[in-house]
Amino acid sequence: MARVTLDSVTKAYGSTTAMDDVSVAVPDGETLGVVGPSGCGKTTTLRTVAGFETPDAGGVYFDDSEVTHVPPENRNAGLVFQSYALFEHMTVAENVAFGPRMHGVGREERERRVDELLELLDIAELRDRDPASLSGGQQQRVGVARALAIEPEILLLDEPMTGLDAKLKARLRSELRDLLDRLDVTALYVTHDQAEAMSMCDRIAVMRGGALEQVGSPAEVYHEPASEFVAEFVAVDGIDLDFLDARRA
Amino acid sequence: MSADAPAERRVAPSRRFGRAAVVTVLAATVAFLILPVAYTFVGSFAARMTGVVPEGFVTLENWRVVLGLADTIGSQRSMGWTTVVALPGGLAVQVPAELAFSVALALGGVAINLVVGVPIAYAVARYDFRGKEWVDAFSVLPLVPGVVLGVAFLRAYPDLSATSFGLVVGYSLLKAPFMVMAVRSEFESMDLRRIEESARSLGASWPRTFLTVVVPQARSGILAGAVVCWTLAAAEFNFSYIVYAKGTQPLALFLQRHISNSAFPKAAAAVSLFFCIVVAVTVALQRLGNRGFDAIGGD
Repeated sequence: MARVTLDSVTKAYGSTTAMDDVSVAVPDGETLGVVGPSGCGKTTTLRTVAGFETPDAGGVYFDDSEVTHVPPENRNAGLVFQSYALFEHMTVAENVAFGPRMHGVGREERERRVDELLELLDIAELRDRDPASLSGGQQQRVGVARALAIEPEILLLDEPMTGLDAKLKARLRSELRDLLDRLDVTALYVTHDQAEAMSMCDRIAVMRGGALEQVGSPAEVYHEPASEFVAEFVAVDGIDLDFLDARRA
Repeated sequence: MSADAPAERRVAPSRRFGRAAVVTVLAATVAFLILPVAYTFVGSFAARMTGVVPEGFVTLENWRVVLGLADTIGSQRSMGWTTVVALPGGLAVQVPAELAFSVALALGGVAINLVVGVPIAYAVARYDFRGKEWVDAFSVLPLVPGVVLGVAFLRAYPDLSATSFGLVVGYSLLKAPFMVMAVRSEFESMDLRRIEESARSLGASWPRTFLTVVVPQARSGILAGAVVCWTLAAAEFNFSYIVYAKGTQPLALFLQRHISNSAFPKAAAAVSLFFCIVVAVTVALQRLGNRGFDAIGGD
C-alpha cells in the first residue's frame, strides 16, 4: 500500500471542468471518501488515480513516484465497480486469479492468494461458481477479492453499494468497513451517499463543480462544515453520530 | 369498480390461459415446421413417389446418387470423392468432393467475417465516434440480394470470377451483416467499459483484455453469428450461380442440380443431406467455439 497524492490536478472536457485544481493526499492505510452531487468530479478523480484519465495539468503520485502518464495496467490500482463487472466466463476463483496471472505470478502463489482472499471475504464455498449465479452481495465480495489479489497500491471503490437493497447495504457497510480497517489498505471511496461515506471513511473530501470544498474527518465535516454547501450536503438522515464521535476520539 | 371481486381472488386471464396458450402455439409451430423435414427425410429412402405417399421402402439408392456413389450421367454427374486423410495400408478417409468444397468455402467466409466483423461490432457498440452512423449503415448494406452483389462483383473484379477465393470473399461480404448484428447486440448487452477497465486495472494490456476478457465473454453472440453466416453462405444460391463457372460445385448449386428435374425421393435425399451437414457443422462450430474460447481464456 502506498500514500497517494493528487497535486493540483485539472481536467476539462470541452468547456466543462471536471476537476479544478484538486490537491489531496491519502496517507498510507487511510480510506478517503469522495462525495458530492452528480457531476461534481468525484468519478473523474477516481478514474484519474486509476489511470483512465490523464490530467490536463498537475500530477498523480504513488508514494514518491509520479504515475501521471503510467497506463492503468502498470499502476497496480485495484478497482471495484458498482456493477462489479465480474468476468462472466470465468469462475469465482478464476476471476480472483486473473490479476495475479496478468502480473506473471506463478500458479502456486496464485492459488495461495485465491485461497487466502476467498477465506478472508468468507466466500470460500463459492470458489467454483459462475458469477452470474451469485447474489449482489456475493458478487461484491468477489469484486473486492479480485481487486485485492494484485496486492494493489490503492483500492478504488466506485459506488460499491449502489443498487443493493437497504438491509444488505447496512450489513455490507459494516463488513467492508471492518475489512478496510483490518487490511489497512489505502482506499478511495467514491459515493453520492453522504451517510455511507461518513460511516465508512477515515476522512471525507466534499466536491462541488470539480473543486474540493472541504477535506476532513467525518466529524469535522459534520460539526464544522467549511461552507454552507458542505453544511447542507452532509445534513442528511441516517448518519451514525456515535460512530462519528468514536472515530474522532 | 364496486362490482369487482377482491383483487386477490381474481386470477388474471393471462395467468390462467397464458401458459397453455404458449405451449399449444409452440407445439403447433414446431410440428408444422418439423413435419416437412421428417416427411422429406423418410421420403429420401423411398423408391417411388406417385401420389402423396412415397412407396418402395427401403432403398439407399437416392442417397448413393447424391453422395456420388452411383453411376450417373449428364447434368446429374457427380464430382466424385476427395481424399481428406490418407491412412497407411491404402486406406483413406474420403468425402464427397462438392460437399467438402462447399463446407470449406462457407467456413472461409465465416473466418473473414470473424476477423473483420467482430472488431467492427465492438467499435460500434463500445465507442462514439464521428461517422459511426455510416459505419453502422455500411456494415448492414451487403444485405442486398446475392444477384446484385454477384453482378457488381464480376464487373469490379473480373479476375475473381469463377475462383474459390471470389466465392469466399463474396460469401463473407454477403453474410457480414448477420455477424455484425449478432455480435454487436451481444457486446451491447455487456458492461463493456467497466469490464475492460477492471481487466486493465488488474494488469492486462488492451490487446490482452480484448482477447482474454471481451471476446470470450461475447462468445455466445460470436458463435450465433458464425453459425448463421455459415448456414446462409452454404445455402447461398444466387451469388454462387453468377460467380461460379466450372469445376467442383458449391453446395447450393449441387442442391439445385439434384432438385430440379429429379423425382421427389432423390430431391429429398439431397435436401436431407443438406440438413445433416447443417446440423453437423452447427454442432461442430459450437463445440469448437467452446473449446477455443476456453483455450484463449486459460493460460
